Amino acid sequence: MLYAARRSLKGRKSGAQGWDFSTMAVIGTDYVPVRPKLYPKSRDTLTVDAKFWKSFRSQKTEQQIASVTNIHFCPSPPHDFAVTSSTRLTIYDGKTREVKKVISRFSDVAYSGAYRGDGQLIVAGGETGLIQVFDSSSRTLLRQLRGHKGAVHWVRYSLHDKLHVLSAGDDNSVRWWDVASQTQVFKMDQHTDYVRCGAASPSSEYTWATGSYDHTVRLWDVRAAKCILQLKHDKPLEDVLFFPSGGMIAAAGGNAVNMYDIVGGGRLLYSIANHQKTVTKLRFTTPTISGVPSPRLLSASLDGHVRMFELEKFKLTHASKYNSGAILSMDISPACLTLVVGMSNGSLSVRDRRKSLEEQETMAPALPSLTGVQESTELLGMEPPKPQPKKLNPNNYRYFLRGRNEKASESDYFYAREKKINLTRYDVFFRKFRYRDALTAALRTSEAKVIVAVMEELVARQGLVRAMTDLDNQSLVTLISFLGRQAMFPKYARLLIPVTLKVMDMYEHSFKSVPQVKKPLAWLKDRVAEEVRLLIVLQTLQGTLEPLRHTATLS
Amino acid sequence: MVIRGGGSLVRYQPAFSNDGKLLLVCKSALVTVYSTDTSLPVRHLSGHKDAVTVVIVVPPHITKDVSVNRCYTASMDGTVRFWNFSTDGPALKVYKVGHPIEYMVMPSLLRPLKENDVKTEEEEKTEEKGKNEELIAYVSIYYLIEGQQVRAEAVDGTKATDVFGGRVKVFDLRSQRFLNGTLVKTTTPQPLAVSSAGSFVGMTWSRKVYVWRVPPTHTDHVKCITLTTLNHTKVCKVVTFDPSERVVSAGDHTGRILCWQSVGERRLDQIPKVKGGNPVQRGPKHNASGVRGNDDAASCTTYHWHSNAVRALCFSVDGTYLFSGGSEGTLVIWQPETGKQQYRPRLGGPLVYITQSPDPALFAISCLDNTIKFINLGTSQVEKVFQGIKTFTPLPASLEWISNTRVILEPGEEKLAFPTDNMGLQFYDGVRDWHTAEVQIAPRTYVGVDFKNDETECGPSTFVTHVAFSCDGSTMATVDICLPEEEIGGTASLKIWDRHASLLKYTLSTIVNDPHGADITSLVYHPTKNLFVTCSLDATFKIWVQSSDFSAEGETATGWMCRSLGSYRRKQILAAAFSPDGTVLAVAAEELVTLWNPFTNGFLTSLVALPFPQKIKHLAFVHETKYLVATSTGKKPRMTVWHLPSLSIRWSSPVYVEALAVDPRNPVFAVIALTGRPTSETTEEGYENPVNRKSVVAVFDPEDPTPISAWSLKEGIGGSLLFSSTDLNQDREEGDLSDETAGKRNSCLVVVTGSREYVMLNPFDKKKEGELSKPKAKGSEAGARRSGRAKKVAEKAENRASVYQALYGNAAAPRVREASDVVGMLAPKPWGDLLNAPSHVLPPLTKISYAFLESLLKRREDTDETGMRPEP
Repeated sequence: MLYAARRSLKGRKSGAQGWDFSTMAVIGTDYVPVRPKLYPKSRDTLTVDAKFWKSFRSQKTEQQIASVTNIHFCPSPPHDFAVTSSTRLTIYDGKTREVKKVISRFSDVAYSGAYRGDGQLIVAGGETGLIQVFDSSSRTLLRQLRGHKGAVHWVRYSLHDKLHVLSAGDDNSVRWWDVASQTQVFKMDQHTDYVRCGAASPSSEYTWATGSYDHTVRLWDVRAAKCILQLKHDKPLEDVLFFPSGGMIAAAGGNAVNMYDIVGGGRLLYSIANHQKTVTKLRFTTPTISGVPSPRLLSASLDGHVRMFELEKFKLTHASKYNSGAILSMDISPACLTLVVGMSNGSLSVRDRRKSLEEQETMAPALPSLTGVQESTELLGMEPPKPQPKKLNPNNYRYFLRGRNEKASESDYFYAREKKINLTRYDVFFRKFRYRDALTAALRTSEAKVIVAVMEELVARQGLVRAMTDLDNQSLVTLISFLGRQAMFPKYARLLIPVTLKVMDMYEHSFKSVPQVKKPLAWLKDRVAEEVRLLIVLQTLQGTLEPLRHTATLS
Repeated sequence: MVIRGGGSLVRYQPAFSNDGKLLLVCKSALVTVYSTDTSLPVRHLSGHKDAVTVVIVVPPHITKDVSVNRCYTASMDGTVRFWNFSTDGPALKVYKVGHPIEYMVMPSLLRPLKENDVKTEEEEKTEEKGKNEELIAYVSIYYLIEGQQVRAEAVDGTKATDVFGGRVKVFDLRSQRFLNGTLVKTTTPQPLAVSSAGSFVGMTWSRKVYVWRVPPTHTDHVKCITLTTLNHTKVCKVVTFDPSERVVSAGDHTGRILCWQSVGERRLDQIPKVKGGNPVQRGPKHNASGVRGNDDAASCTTYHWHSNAVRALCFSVDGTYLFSGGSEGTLVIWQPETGKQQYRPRLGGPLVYITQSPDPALFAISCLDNTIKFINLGTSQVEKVFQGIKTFTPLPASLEWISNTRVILEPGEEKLAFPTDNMGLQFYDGVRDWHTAEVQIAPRTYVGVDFKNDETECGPSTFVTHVAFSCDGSTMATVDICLPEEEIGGTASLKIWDRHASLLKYTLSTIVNDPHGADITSLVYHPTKNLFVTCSLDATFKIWVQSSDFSAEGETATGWMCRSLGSYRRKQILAAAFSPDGTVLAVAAEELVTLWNPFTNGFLTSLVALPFPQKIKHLAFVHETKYLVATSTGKKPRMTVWHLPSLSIRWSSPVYVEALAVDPRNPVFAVIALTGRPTSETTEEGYENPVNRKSVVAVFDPEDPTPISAWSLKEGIGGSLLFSSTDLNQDREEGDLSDETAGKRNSCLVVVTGSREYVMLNPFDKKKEGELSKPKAKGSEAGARRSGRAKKVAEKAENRASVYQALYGNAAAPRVREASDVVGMLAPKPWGDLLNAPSHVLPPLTKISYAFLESLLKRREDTDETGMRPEP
């Protein structure tokens, strides 16, 4: 009765590494196995967003002839994508991400290859000012729209009918075309510089926006053929994008992305200046992140980053870096499965999260198929087959094991067998007071937590130095490479740095005779040098910050 | 009413009653009779005035009835008493020996009765049983050596202390006198051993084993007793005889066990073959008999397993097994015939005694962690545990600035909580004097005492240093440390435990590894809120709060986190205390006391420094008053009381305070002060060595340097004080409430000595002074000699106060600081709201930087104009 407390002790979230004292007869009278310490869980630095965006894994990087000027996903499945680069328009298969077709009917550099809403036609501009319409499946040239006097960098089909195209050219004009008759319906000349981007409003059939190098975004009404709104920006516009609601416009110019409220008369609502260099492309996507549909604004920039912003406060939620250079074009598939990014040096990066999706699915049990079987048998009017209990005879090994896994029923008296403590190898050596063997056994696990726990137990028994003397060559090599790996880790540094020093002192003279130790020793030396460098850098930083902080607190 | 308790169960050997139902344990001046069924105390035999050292139960062949419970006890007070321990009540007979008895054996009790000795019942009635039988005790006593006094005085310079030597003498209880002559002289008295039939008495001293052959009848000189000496090369620690009385077994300090066969047969060939007369089986053949020199033994066999000293040896009833134990905490079961061993490891502490119970399979093992464990050798299981207050090794001298928790009151059930050596926390019921529960603070395997190169024992290297409870006891915070080995390692961990409702069960809620960069000096819980403070030698103190910010994967977990960190002039933080209402936190930064607001982290003020700056060790607010008590140690220790409203020192006196406690119900505080030469006489060296000094428990009113009451205390070093709300006056009659103590709310002072004995007394109970002044039950440990000493202390304290005034006069009240003096935590930012915007709204840095730098420059001009204008 006096030992009421002894069974109460269970470590927090005990599990495998907590302490379980329930098997102790009387406190202090039994061997307590050495278990790794509980360390604070390292905070998961990945936000849900970061996790989501990191699940896009690099599938392939293709090299195009010249810089990739435009990427456009086909709105209809399987969401092929058209990549415009140099004098070519390459169509990649949406499933296999392999080249499907190449359209090379351009006499000069092609620009802005884009699908029609149904994915059957592709329209593309070009350096010559000629706009061409191709059949996406047969590659046949269907129509040619002539009229622009400069290069056409942007041309798009109307979202709502399949008949019209709006194009923007370097001759400062925006033209509205009737494709079937290959005629220009009208031309709008209000822009005073190159017009390089535009967008169709998702809510209104007749409203379009174009952005120009004259630092303005203009909204057009194609019914009246006139400018209905002018939005001012600080920099030449590189991309314009309607919000899915159609009430706001995001316009990228320079390194700033401005959000305008066009319903409220073109008021500037937000400005994001998160990129170091000019933002080249903007895209909206609405992935389902951890079960919640979360609309995101993606911006690609010449600084090689694609950044993802949420749409409430326009906070940065994630950024992914593309090392190969300035990003000129970017698009994401409508189902938010594939992110394609084109660089100025012609490389095309395809990132895909299909594989990670598959992995998740394989992790989950394949339930649907099972239920499917059951349903089908039920449909046939049969009961699902019950596994017949096999009659056991002495020919079967299980015959001799029968009844062993019998569960006690509720009315039975239950005598629990005393829980056996599973002793690890180093525990066995600890029980025999063979400290060196315990340390060697721990080193063999190569788990830092375990080794540190064993070392701490040795310190508590005042036996670490004894355990470290006269180690055999193999253990010495393991110990030194362990120290090289872990000694600078802040969690263990307080224990391991003095251990390192002690080992150096103890084996100073025997290192020469052990050739294997040379490599880990050099590695350890490098790590120390690296750490010292880091410390110097940090101290420099502290030195710069300290006067600032001091002036701030003084005044 | 005074409650005494605690103390060691294992200092001396326990004894079983003849029927095995009772266990008699020497517990200081008491013999406590435990029931072996319930392992709870049944009764106490009180009467001795000093520690009881020996209990000898009269064997059944003398009492004729197994259920008749009689015993002899010997004590350090120089008396032997004869008891009937079936009933409460005083001793049946008292024999005055006149010297403190360290050990006693009574071979005459063990002698089998001769045929013609069996008397008829009538004879027994007329003359007390065994009247003709001689009643001889071999006693190992402290013998006063008178000539040594002068020398001691010359060396010590203090009051002459008596010098004792050890003597083994023979005492005749019938005639109550010593036989002439002395058996052996030693410097310290040694325990004796007696063979099972009472034919031999043995003792070890240095490298010799003495075996005396007990004569059938004693003359009035010890010459009738023949001595055989056995020599060994190592210091022998313990000796025992096998049941056939042919084998003498001794354990030495290196862990060897020696068995001498046929000791003294050459000289004492007339040994009567008592036990069946079987010829003794010889051990394994020895080429050389192993007997040293001219020792009188046929052969000597050595067994070696223990790596440290053998402390306990015992033969089984039939002599086929030999049990030995030592500091490894392992019971080794030898088969002397074959030399084979078996083990029962991990008994929790060094073994000191192995006692055979009437049941041949059952042994009582006394372990140095203050437990007596019953081991069934059939199953090798611990069947029962008798638990005293567990031991705690004092912290090593290198950690002198850690004021560790020696005992703390658990606020929920008012249990005393003691940190223990095996990294546990033991809850002890002070009123009932029994063990309640134990919590393991950190996992630890007992590994025995380790010896380094020389033979100095290394103490333990892991300690539970601090324990603190929240006001309602629902949360407990503990600090446990592991000392570094050659400056490698050395960890501390702060653990916070949640208590289960209504039970003394705690579950670990949070572990903080290495909460500070250096040793933690103190841990203080807030009196009302769920918040505590840790102080450290790394010059910081940290405030810890509960936080639910630990949600992991859906489930919310509450944990604890450091809310704020404070430091004062990079001084080591040594102590902290909360004011009773919890609004002010006093922190001792080396010799300075600083006051803080624990909620806003605001620094309030620092108090006037002590006249002789010394590092402060204890700090406490006195309840209901505006006084703060601090005690400092070092060469010139002081106890100082500040008056907080005036921020001045009220009084200060040069006493070395070992422990400080404030009463949470009355405006008083109590200290354990070490007395010695007053500092006024020896100003230079001061108190160089606090050990070996007498200590005084004194209760003070903070306004008055004269203690309200004081008691002297032995073993004040390592002692501790507590105020508990236990009502000691339950037996008082109604009418008594009108006396002067009625004004004070019930509060009971618990004084815990260094050896973990405690006394619970009412510090205001003037009526009971008389009773206290007499050393009541446990005189040796906490002998309270109130009378003269309290007065002396009072006078001293008064003198000191006047010295202070003579030196400094009445301290001028310093300027009372206004609230506006309090330094705010946030300095105004010169750039205003310039940067107060989300980053995407902010203009580019190139734009801001001008405005930012301008704002800095502008502010600088301002200060120049207002504050630092150069004089023309």
